[in-house]
Amino acid sequence: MNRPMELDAARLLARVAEQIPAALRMNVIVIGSIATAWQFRDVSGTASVATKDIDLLLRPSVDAVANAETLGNQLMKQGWQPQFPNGRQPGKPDIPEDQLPVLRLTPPRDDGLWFVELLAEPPPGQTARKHWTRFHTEFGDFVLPSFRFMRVAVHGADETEFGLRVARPARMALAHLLEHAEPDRTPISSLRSQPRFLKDVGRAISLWWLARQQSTVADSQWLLEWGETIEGIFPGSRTELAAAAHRGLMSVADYLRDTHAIAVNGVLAPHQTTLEAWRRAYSGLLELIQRWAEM
Amino acid sequence: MAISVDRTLSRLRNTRDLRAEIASLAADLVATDVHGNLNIIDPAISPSKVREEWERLLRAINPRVRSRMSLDIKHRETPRLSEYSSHYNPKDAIPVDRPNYRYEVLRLLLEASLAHSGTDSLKGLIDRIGASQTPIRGAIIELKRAGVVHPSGRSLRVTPEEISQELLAKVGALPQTVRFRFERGARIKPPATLVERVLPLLAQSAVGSRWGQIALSGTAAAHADVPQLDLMGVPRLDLVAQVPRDAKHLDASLLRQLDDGLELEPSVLAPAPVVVTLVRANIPFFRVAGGGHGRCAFPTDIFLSLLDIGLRDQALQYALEIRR
Repeated sequence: MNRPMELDAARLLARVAEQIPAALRMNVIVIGSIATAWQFRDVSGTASVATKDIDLLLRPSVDAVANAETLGNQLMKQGWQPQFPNGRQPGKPDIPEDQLPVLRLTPPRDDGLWFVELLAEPPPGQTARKHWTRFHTEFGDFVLPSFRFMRVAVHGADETEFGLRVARPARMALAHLLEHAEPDRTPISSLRSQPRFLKDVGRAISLWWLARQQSTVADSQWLLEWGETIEGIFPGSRTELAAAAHRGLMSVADYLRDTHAIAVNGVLAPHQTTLEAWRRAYSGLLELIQRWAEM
Repeated sequence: MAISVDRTLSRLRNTRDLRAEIASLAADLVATDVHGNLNIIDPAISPSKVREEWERLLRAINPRVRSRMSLDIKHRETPRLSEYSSHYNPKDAIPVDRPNYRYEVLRLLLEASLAHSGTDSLKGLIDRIGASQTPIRGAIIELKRAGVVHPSGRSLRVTPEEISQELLAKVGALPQTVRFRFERGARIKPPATLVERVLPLLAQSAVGSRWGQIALSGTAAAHADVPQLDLMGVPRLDLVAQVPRDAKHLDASLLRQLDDGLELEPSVLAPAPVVVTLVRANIPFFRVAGGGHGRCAFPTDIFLSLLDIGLRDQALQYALEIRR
């Protein structure tokens, strides 16, 4: 596996933002590892990140397709090149959604070092883990994936000087935990076929570890944000969702060594967090969820 | 009344015993329809570890049986400073010495001197320390004999200028301090950063919470009181923790909230980025200092911490300014 380049989060956000029409920027929320690097840029070593993908979530869900078509066409006109992992090609109208690629675009002049990937905010009421929505571009048809708890991840996202919004760590972590209350065991090819839940739940632990590096009162802040988010999206469901988040975190109880190995090759690469510290972060997050459940 | 099976494990020390008890309880419930409860009393491993293991094992038990099983964790002895801690580890239980009454008496008399209340009586000391008359009287006799404490009518007096670290060591009036270092592999943070990190904890926590028993001391607190103090930088983070006189252990995991990489420094000679001085008197020992420093120790503790760092000149300057 090639070691990804270290990329500067602020520089990347600026670069992406300048390519997005101003009217669209507020509807684009950056999530994933670049959002993590940006949110923890004051934690030594975290401002850069070893990643290749920049996940851009388009919202609101009702406008996601129109926004994806506008943005996709505009970027491709400016020379951004679509990538087609797993040999999938942009499709024609008769090809079913599950055989279409997601839209991944690499910018001109950057030799394919990084790419943006478009996702959609799930519509209210999406119960399926993942939903594909077709959209059309001049290159052909693609799909926008939407994961059911992504609304949690992007709730109350921060505005930035770039015009794009960036998801907050507490909410990204909660979305990962809720997503894997029933663990998704789909293998990830880039991670030697490790199941998806190990990467995602491990990311929640990484976010918590980083949050505690950033602030000694991260626990209060996370509880506050979790409360606001759930009241805003699923009012009256705190107890049920706290139990789901607990199950999500418990899904990696027997895989802490594996999740640690993934994390120190990902967002924790600059920190080389020890396995012992990783175990403590896991326990601390478990305790935080218990406190949330008992509030 | 519902029939139930109750099992109790006291001072559980490892998950092996827990697993055995869970399996045994499940086996007892198989041929019945009664409810089974496992009571864990004062576990030596963390409650979250117990719950984690419980949840893990339960998944391997037949749903018909596990739906009738419940877990209850009780603390008859509230762990000092460790309540709610998920990071509790037997290694973190630091033995606490018996109170050193010479130190407790000296710090209160010194406080009286710095606060210009001037003197303190035997009765006042007994009330404020909360101990019986015998150990307080004994401490006073020893401190008088060493020339540290002077009678002043019916009261007692201490002069800051006469106190040095060497003298305190000689008369056995040093406090117990607990020192912390960064564990191997941890990202080392400078003391100034540790001071910044501790301030929200001291501002946020109410008395009675875990951090409510801790206050800022040392150079950072001295600077808050006396900005013109002749000090450059922060050599270490000094804290003062109020620990009940009957406490047997201090839970060092509390410090992990300050920084996850901190661990106990066993050597008293090695430089330590964080030093916690334990005080055992009954009276509240903290106040709110200016400049957003949150809960600060009393000047007496700050003065003594400056001596402990080796900053005697600055300690004397601090005492002078505080008494103005």
